[in-house]
Amino acid sequence: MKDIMKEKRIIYYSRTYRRIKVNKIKYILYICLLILPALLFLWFHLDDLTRWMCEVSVQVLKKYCPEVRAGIRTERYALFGNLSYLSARTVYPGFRTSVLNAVASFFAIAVIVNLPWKGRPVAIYLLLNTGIHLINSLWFVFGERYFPYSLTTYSELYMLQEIGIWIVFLVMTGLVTGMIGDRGFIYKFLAVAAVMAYSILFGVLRYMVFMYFMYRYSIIYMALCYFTFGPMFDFLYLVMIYAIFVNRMIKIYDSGKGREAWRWS
Amino acid sequence: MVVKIMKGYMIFVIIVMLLYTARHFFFTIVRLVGRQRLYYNDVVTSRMKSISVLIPMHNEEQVLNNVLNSLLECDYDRDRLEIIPINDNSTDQTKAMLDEYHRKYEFIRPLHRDCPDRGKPVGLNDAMQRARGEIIIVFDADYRPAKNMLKQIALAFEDPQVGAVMGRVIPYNTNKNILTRLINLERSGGYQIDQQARYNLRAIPQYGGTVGGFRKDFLLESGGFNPKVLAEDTELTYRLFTNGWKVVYANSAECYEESPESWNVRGRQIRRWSRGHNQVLFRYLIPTILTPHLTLFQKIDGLFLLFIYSVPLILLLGWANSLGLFFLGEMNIFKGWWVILFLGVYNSLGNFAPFFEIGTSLVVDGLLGEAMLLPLIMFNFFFYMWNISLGFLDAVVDIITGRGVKWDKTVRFAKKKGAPQ
Repeated sequence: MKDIMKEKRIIYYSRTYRRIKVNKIKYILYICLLILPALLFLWFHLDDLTRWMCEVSVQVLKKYCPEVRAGIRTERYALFGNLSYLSARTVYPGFRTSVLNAVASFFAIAVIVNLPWKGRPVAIYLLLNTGIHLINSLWFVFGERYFPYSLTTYSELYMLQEIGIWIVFLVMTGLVTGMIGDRGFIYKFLAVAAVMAYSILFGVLRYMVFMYFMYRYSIIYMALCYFTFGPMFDFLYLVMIYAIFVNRMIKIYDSGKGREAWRWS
Repeated sequence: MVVKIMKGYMIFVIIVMLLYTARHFFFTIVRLVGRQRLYYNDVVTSRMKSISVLIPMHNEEQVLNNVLNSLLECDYDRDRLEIIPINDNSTDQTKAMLDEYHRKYEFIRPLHRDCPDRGKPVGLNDAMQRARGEIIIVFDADYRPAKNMLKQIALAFEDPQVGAVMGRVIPYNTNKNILTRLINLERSGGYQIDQQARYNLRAIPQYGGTVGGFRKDFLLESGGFNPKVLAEDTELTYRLFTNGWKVVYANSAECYEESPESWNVRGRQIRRWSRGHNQVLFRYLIPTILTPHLTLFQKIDGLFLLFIYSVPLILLLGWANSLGLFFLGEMNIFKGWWVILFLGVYNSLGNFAPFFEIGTSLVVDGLLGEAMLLPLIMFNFFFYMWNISLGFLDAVVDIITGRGVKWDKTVRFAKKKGAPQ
């Protein structure tokens, strides 16, 4: 009887109209004292960061793929100051490789559209990207010399894109973690730090792999690298880290102390 | 010139995506931290409105016991209630089962339709002609209303400005597979955040065609449901708003539905929704802009809502456009940044709900563990982009050719069980 009474003494708010009480000043401070300084720090150190990325990439490529001859080029940009990127010789696929890629893409499409799970998300995703590779391969079959990019151009675009990802991710993660109440500051900080750390490390690793791949197997894979394994994958880990963060916040707000933050309108 | 147009289109796509993202961010904040606008739960009345519950059915022998038994459990004066299951050309045991219910319960009065013009809108029109209630409440056959559901929905009609009410839909078969779990996430974001925020803001909450009700007189006087429009629910929403009525959202009126358990079924369902919604877009774009009954804010929200099923096609074309720019050597537009913005915003969108909106809804709902599925909504995006774009093209063909629509019933997965209680 005593236990029942104990349970009935407190009736928690139902989920229907509950909301979190938020201290707006804390949110503004979170953005102004954590995200904004981090953004400025990143912005003013892009020069060092891209230089470091290039040096690491050159060292690793030299050690594990000695055939890749890459140099470091530095250019000045109005918005970011000096930025560095790798420069390397462009390897073109040639007619035979282009035809082989086109045929392989065509067969891959034929297989995907005949799979029993052809209507599923992964199949549609693969179909769209194989389609891109087919168009790209046909371009090289018929007009290799008109392909408008070199490996160095790709490298420059990659670096600029990485900078875009870092800046957008920092702002986005700051906004979406900050809005979920005042609790769990440490988890908010960890989520932002994890997104940025992952973004930079993954960015370096992917840079090396792509540069090696295109140097070794030709620039025919540029479109695939750009559209299939490009920013799409960055958003995947952003959401993955956000998902872990949200799960933690659900635990916090359902714990004894977190419940105090809920309000009934 | 061509390149300029292509670049212009990219900028257009980016602006559209940013606007939708900003809209959803605003909704999320309004729902999570803003003061909530309560539904009419506190209203007390000694005499409830007379209601007719309409349940369109086509070969629903697997699930009809669930919905009817749940309705029989509902707390509502029997003399103010009638239930009209609309047996629409069923070839299975639906007719016999409904007749069995009728024998036991006088107020369950099935309408058996055996005619070539099958479909939800025509079925509802026929049923409304014989309905005795002043309020029509609609459930799909796979729904399981809670005990207080009918009372909750009917209460709002004590407000003479309310034309329709929408309740909250929650899937009950969430643990079946990944698809049903993902639909659960979308539903949580769509109702707990999106609908409630629109209700809070006095914007355009949407009547969803099931788990909701509307005034019979208004609909009959305005010509009933249009059988050529597949999304009769969205059409009713805009018809009401452009005629000065209100649609309200009852977040507390939770009703359980069966989610599609196979991708093919889900794909067809989404395509049908897109087709219907875009039919409404073509019909109500100008009326929404010109109506004197909506505020500027409501018009803006109404337009965002009208275009929501066009966005995936805009994105699909944007993707094709970016491919064209790639081969034209124009990848340096915004020095490579556009790709981030473009992909960023659209990858963040699942089925119209960005990841942070769904994440926040999970916090409000307290759904521990489900958030870990969030990354998968990205792959869902391609699935939706494809099927919704096809639905848009269907709607374009409809408008050009004036062809009629054929109703495609969502396949049910529940095993047949239960019987009249």
